[in-house]
Amino acid sequence: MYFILDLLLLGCINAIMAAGVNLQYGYNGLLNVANYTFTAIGAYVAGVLTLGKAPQGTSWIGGWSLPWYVGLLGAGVAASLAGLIVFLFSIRRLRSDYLAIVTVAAAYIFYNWATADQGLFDGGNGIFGVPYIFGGSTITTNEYAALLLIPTGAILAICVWLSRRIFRSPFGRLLRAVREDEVVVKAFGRKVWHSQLKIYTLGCFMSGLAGAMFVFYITAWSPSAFLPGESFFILAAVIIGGTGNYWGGVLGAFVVVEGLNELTRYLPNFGYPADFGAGRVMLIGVGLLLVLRYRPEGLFPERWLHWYERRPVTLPVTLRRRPLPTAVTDAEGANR
Amino acid sequence: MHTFFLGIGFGLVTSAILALAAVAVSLQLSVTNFINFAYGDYLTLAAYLAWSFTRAGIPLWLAIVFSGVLTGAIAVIIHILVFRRFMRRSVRPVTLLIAGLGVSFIVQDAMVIIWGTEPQRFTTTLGSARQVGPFLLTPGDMIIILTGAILLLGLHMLLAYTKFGKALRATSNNLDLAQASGINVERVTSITWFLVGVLTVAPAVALVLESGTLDPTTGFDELFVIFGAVILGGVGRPYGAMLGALVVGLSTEVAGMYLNAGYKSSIAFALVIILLMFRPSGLLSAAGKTS
Amino acid sequence: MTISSGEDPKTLLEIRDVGFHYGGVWAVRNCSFNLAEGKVTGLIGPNGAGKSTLMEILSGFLRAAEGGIFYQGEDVTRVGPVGMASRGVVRTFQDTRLFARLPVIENVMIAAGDQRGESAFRSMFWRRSWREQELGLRTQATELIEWLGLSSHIYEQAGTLSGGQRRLLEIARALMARPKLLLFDEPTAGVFPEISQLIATRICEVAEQGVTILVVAHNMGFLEKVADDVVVMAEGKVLARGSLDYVRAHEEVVAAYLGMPRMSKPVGE
Repeated sequence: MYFILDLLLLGCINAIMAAGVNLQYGYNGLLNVANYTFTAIGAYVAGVLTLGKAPQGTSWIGGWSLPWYVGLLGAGVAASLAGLIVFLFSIRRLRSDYLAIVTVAAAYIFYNWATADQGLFDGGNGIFGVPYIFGGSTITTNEYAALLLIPTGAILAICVWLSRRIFRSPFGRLLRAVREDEVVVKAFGRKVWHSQLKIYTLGCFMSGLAGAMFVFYITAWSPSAFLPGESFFILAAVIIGGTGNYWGGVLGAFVVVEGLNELTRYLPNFGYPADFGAGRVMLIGVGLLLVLRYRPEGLFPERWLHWYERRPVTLPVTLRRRPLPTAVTDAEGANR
Repeated sequence: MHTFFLGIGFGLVTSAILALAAVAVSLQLSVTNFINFAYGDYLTLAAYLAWSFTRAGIPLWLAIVFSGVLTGAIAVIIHILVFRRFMRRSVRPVTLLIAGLGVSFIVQDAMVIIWGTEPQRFTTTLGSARQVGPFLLTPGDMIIILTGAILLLGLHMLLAYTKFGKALRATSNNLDLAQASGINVERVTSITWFLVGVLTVAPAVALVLESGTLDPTTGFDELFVIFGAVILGGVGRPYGAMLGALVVGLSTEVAGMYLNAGYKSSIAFALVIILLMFRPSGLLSAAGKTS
Repeated sequence: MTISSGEDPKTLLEIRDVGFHYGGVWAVRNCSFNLAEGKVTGLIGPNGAGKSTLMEILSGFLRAAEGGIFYQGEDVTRVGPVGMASRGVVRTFQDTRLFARLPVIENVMIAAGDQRGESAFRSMFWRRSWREQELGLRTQATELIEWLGLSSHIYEQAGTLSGGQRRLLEIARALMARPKLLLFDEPTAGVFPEISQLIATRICEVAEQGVTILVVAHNMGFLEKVADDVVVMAEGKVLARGSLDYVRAHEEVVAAYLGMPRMSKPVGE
């Protein structure tokens, strides 16, 4: 029973992360190679906000025993701030790989800082003893996991709903156009980096929320939980599930989680690098290659057709008879 | 001053290792035009192969040769099975990047299956550190620096003076033009991969000898510093990569002597980013690349 | 061609002594000419004359190293692509750049400026503020697509269109942006004669609405239909300006084209 709950819960958390990464990569083509770091930042912040003062022999910042929803919000804000900083660093450069290298650099710098600075998050030991958000000390792990599904599922639902809204809006269209050809978008008067910045920080915000739920579940967090390799699983999840489709990330997260299908796997790998048993990771690699080759849009491809075809615009009879479109005749915008 | 030179000494070793790997990556990048995320795992693979050969009783130098050839062959096979299929269909560069990711998953897991996740010890007894001028180096260090220099020199001569070298430079500069001039671009690419694989053994073994342990993630851990050096040197410019590696290696080690050593990789990355802000196309300007 | 109105047309665009070099090689040098409002002007010249470079400069993608560009009297030499676009300068690209994975209708709709729904906040939380505008834009886009004969492909991915259809789509997209100055970069290159004809007709109709147009083209038959007059460039400078007939007979122009096929009507037109 616990196994299923655990699977569901961690699947949901990974799905929240995937939703964030999908916004960045699927919609806008921004490859976030260190997305797990933003999750980690969220986890740490949520942890230190809800924890009490550090006990003897350990130390961490914060420790104000705030309610869990403050921790949750703080996690999102902290992660998106980090995303903002990373993005702003790379803004002057035109090459897309610069954002990638800046992201990686930020990841390593944060990892180093979290490990080396004892006062920040207790260095290599990390934070622990994060209070349960429901039930206090009388509750069993099973019951807690089940209860935790509710807020986690709700957050996931909200993230998917927001993704859907963005997709079906001019903002989403702009993002996807930038993904296809940034130069042309500029030629039509849009400042490209504005929308990129917005979606990047939003994606990081979601990763932060996922981190908060992680730490509420595991009640601890340390640098060994966010080794660089973890980010790649989420990327694989988004790509296999379907870039650009808001359900794709969710599906991908569950597929990748199922594919890994063991407790030690999708839990952040505390201590030594993951025990990749019997070729499961290899399977993901093969799956990724197959998807790339034969179904590059992912298992759930982008589905704007559904939206546009369901409500086709039929021209009123009067317009059909006119030879010239009204768009060209009027320079003043009276058509609005 | 003593600390400074100690740092330079370490830096030279680090730079040598880094330079070899960075040059290999840069070579591959210049010809195939994409960044191979699986390269770290090629490093690890080369190290494991060498280690396995030594365990079978083969002397180290021979094990390195065998491992080099084998790694080169594997690199070519992977290219044919995976990367070439994508390249033939002219996909977006991001797709190749992700393909590299997929390969990384496969190779890394394969190594886990074959060799397990327990770290292995890989040492040689070559004597202890000795004072060489202002530097403090072990014989192992000196061999690494020497080997690195020789290999890089050999590579330089290959690129500059041989027919293949010219073909490679032409391909990396302008693929279409090279093809139109009658160069068999596919063959050049395959041979480049082989070369990259062979070249990878040196930094791999050096890396492992330096740290003494080997596990499936050893190479991957160095991956991004290598990319940093490559990008710093100017994308697709092997000589730039050497320079980038030198800059990164030296400054990190020297800085690491004065600051908290745990921050070394942060220093490396911070350095790369700051330098890139001032010279976006890398230390050697990218003029001349026409593709 | 535009229907002459009898009054003196105003100058919309003034190019004064503009120069640009790529690492020491001057692609454009001492280039000067004006564009009158509401007229269609052809820009011709042998390969390497600097026409494409000039297009890039006019649309703001490249900054002139020398000289100045004046648009509606304003100095826009330093203005980038975003600024030029907001001033109503719209261009097409020589190699039809489209949003390949987006449907045709979205390709067109992107071009419209000032879309309220493009704000992140409004897209997520305040649909009412942009729904009506969005429907209006869809209507306009659908009309434009129909006007250019692409209705049957309206929901297909732009990447699946043929060469001629892509040109048409680029025109639809350009028009959606309500341009005052349209820069067409070889709108009929690689296009069947029937579609070329359609493009010519449509360009004339657009010009009749008062839009100023600059067309880079090689096809003389096409230029005969659309251009009021023609600017000839060679080696980065303006060689001649005038009607197509005048320019065809001009000595220097012929000399510049020496070695190239004579500037006569293509067979079959």
